[in-house]
Amino acid sequence: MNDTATVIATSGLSKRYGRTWGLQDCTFNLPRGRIAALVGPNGSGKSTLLRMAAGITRPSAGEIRVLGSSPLEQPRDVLARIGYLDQERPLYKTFRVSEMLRVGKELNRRWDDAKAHEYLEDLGIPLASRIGKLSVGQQAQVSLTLCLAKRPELLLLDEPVAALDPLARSQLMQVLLGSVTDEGTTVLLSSHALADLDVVCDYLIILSSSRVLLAGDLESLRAEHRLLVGPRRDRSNVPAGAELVSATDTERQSTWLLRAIGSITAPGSDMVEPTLEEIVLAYLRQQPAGSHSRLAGSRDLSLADDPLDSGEQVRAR
Amino acid sequence: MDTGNGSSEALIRFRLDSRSGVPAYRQLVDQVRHAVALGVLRTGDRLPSVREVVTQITINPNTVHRAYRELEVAGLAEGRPGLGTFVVERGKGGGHGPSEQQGALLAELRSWVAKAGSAGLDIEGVQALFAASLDEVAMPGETGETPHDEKRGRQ
Amino acid sequence: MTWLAWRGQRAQLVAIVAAVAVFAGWLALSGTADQSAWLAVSHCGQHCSPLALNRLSSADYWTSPNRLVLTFLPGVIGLVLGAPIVAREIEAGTNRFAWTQTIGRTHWLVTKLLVAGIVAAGAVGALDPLLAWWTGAVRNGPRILPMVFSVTGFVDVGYALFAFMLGALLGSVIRRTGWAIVAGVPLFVAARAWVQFSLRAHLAPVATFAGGLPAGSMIVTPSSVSIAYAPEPSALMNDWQLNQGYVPVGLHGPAAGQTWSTGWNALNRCTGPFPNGNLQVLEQYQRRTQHCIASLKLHYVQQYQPPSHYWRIQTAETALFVGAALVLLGLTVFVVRRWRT
Repeated sequence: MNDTATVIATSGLSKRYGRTWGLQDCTFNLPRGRIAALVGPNGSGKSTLLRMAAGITRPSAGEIRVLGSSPLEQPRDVLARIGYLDQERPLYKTFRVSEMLRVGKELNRRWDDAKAHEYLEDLGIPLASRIGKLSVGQQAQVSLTLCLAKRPELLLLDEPVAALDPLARSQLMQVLLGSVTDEGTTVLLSSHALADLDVVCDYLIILSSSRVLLAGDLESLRAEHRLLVGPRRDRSNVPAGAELVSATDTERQSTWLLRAIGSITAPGSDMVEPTLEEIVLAYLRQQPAGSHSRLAGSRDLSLADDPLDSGEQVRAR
Repeated sequence: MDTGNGSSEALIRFRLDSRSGVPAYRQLVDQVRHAVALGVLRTGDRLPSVREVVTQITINPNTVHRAYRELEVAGLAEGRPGLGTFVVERGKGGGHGPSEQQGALLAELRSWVAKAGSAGLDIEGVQALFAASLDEVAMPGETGETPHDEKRGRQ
Repeated sequence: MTWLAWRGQRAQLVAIVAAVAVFAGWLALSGTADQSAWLAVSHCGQHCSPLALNRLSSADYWTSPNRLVLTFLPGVIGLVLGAPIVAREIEAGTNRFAWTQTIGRTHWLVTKLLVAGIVAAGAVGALDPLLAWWTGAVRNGPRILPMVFSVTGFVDVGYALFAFMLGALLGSVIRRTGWAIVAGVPLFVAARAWVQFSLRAHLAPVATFAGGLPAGSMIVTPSSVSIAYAPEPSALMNDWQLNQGYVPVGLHGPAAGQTWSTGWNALNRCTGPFPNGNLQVLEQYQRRTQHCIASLKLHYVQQYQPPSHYWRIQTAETALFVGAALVLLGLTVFVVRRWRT
């Protein structure tokens, strides 16, 4: 199967570390050309998924195909066409920047040296500096450049903007999106910065406790979900044809996330299309049926105070 | 690499209000319409390339493509392969500055705002009323069923 | 990739070469001092001045420690260069970068191993001509003897390559440079000891010398008033003596089911304990011994390796260690290819 319209196809993909699951039963198909966000609390399996796509981690069960090939069995086919950026952004700290670029050139068949130098020059990163002496943001840029200069068809980025100050974060996203615009690269990136992701990503995968809660085109997901804001309703009073994903009730008001394929009506309340942030938070507040759950309303995501979060949380299913 | 100051060739700069609830592509479309209505953009002006927009505001390139497509469908813009996307006026002659009709509307609006102010409404109140009437009154050229979000008073 | 293999290991490769160069200089210095001290003493024979003797003893003072260092040097160089090859990258996490590039792990690993391995072998091998001179200058003794054998010839290159691949394999399994070296030391020492003390004697056909008396045995002539001691047969000078003792006539080694001490024990039972006493008592003991030897139908035999077998054993032992290194190479490639979190 070399179906290149689907860039990543997983089916029941799972990874077990001893007794605990890193990822369980993950199934989704990422179409080409998308910029996909992989979100979820720490330890939910984001890095595990990315590493399985890059061939560094062996699945315990299930299957993953990247650009039509198996990263485990046909690494040569896959590695030449992807760029993988690990969470720790490993670089040879004693090398100079220019030497690091040379490493990229020697280790890869397809390598755009001129582009790599151009990126770093535009950012003002001196080629003669030692990697270890660069700031975190500059190191992140070097790591990203090493991925982009490979001219990959798919980018796998594990928290590329974590620990970066706002300026560095913005610059990195600029470089990334500029390259994606030029090359039509598909991107799968994990991040906690939900507000930024809203306008950047058009595909969403939500992980929690090593399971996939939701996966799909962001626009379809947005169209399928509605945020109902109105006077306090009883939990059983779910509008016809809709499924209650997550509910937040105060004494007077209810803010519910509903899911439905057709249109939903709820006279007396407002029905609005939720943002990516609202969808993600609502799903993450759910407690998975039957499993040892996290604290309700866990706040692993680094955001400002969520204005919807007041009052009790609820088990949606 | 663009450091955010904008290319010297781009005639307008987009900005995104990610908290407004209005979809990103819609905001771009609105900003182009707004610029045309105010005369900032005239017929024959080149809209910023997708690459330029993506560099200015970190946004999905597909979103920009979609906005420009919608402008083409609405007759406000025209894509010329290899050259870019250019503003075209939808028939109403010239397009050099706001028309007489728009000038009259503007004057009416100003006096209404003044009236609202003296009636005791603050900015949020004015905007809520305005948004409500936009919701209720069908405007020519609206595409799709995108719901408009009112400002919900969240801070 | 060759450039990266060099640049990535530059620091330790240069350090090792520099250390070896420094040590070589030291050997040249101390060796020259020792050499001239020996020469001076050989000229004065029995009438050497205390000064000359002192000079010799202080120059010679370094011979043993130097030999000790030289014995362990190839192992240390090998382990220190081999252990970080994979382990260092895993520790730093850079393997998650290197192993997600197009090049593939086998090519990456083999190139790194070749570059570092050549330096390890080369650094050790470059010492060999110097050692050939040094061993003579400090009068280390016959080359075939175990302690000298290991620090002469080219067998140290085999040791270095073996230690190098051992370090690399342990590094890829243990994934920690320090612990890989720590684990490598006893394993390397054990391998070396086993080869040196059990295997080496058999790496060339064992030669036998029959007849005569054990060196150092007492010879009493009835008419003499003094006691002499049997010398080492000149045929056996500079040989590496493996086994010696009394065995049944017609055999060149102990009979089946017997050991080298069987003959000694039988002889001692026959002659009784070695007596204290005057010349006559000793002479009686000597006759009794000769009588026992004849009646028990024993003769004295020595097994040895002659100096002429030196290069043969060198080649065989080097081939052994290089062969083992190649096996370890295959294992390392296998482990690295299979590495997954």
